[in-house]
Amino acid sequence: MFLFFWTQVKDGEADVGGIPDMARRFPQARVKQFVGSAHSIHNTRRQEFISDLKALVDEVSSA
Amino acid sequence: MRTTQRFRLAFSCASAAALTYSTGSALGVPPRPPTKVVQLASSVQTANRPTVVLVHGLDSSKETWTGVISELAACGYPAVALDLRGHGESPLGDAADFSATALASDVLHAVRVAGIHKCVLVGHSMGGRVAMRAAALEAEAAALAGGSEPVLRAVVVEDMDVSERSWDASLTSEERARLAGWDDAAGGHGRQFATWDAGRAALLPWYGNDEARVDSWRGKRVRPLPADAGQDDNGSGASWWSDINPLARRLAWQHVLATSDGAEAWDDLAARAASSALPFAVALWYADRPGSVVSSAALCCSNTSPDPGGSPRLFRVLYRFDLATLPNSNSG
Repeated sequence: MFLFFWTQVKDGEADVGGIPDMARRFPQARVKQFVGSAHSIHNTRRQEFISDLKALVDEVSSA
Repeated sequence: MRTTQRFRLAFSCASAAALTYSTGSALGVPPRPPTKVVQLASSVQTANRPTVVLVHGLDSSKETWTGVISELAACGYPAVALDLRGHGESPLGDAADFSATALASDVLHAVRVAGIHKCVLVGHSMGGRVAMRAAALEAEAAALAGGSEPVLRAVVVEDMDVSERSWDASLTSEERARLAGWDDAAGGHGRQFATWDAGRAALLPWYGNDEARVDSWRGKRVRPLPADAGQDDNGSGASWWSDINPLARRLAWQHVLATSDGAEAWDDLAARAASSALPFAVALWYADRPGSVVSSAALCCSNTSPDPGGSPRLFRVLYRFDLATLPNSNSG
């Protein structure tokens, strides 16, 4: 059972160090959300994880 | 047994367990005369594909990647998994040296020692922080070498952000003494125990006396060592090895997660990318279910490609409590 406390994010408020902040600070980074995945993406979304990893390996192999 | 463990090279590959290096003289066999050696090909690298190098997170080891390595190998993608210092079968080294830079340097050194010339580095959770620092080190080295090709060809950070975790430095003198026992270089029990019960008892205080959690590690992250005389199928009579090391966990929390190192490495990579001076791709893959970094540190960015200049969030999670696992939720 999870209990969440939510707070509204105001314009300009920094969520320092979080994923959206990382994406803002490093726009060239390839940011992807694995929908339905738990913390260990490589276990909970194994096939998607491996598929993406293989695609990345193939891409940099040919670069 | 412990000597064997220490000499074991801490990586695994699809077709074999960890390799063991030994010298002829150590085995009582006369050393061979010097000769020219040939660099042999191996299952950890191919000529045409970078090797996937996998780094685990907190309270984990290379074993977490066994399934991934098998699936990659079946498709012809070479991969190896490493134990970070103090984790799995890798020695802790000097606790005073423990830092994100030290861990990252270990990884880059292990890659080169394994003869890997190009790799895609994947770091899970706390290992993601290590991957960020390794990437920054490698980018700097490539720049200093005049743009030579780096070993890293891409870096993947799996479900880790760069926010500084809180850190409670307080320990009682009794806790400090018990923690020191996990230092394999200081003459303590290290990660080897005579029985499962002894290892279990040593682990429990560091995990909130959560018996179900520690018991779930039996035979997996805490396992009987092979080849002990008198061992039965349940591991009775064997000595036990714990891949999990509360001392390494504490050091990683203090010197990796509760620092600004991740943010500094990330910003360094970003600055190089902005000036087209980053010689490899950087990917950040994150999860969205409870227990992920995102649910405890920042939300609600539901886009797969967040608008870097925009504000896709309306709300964020200020606090999240998992009533089933407190106080031992793992965001590292």
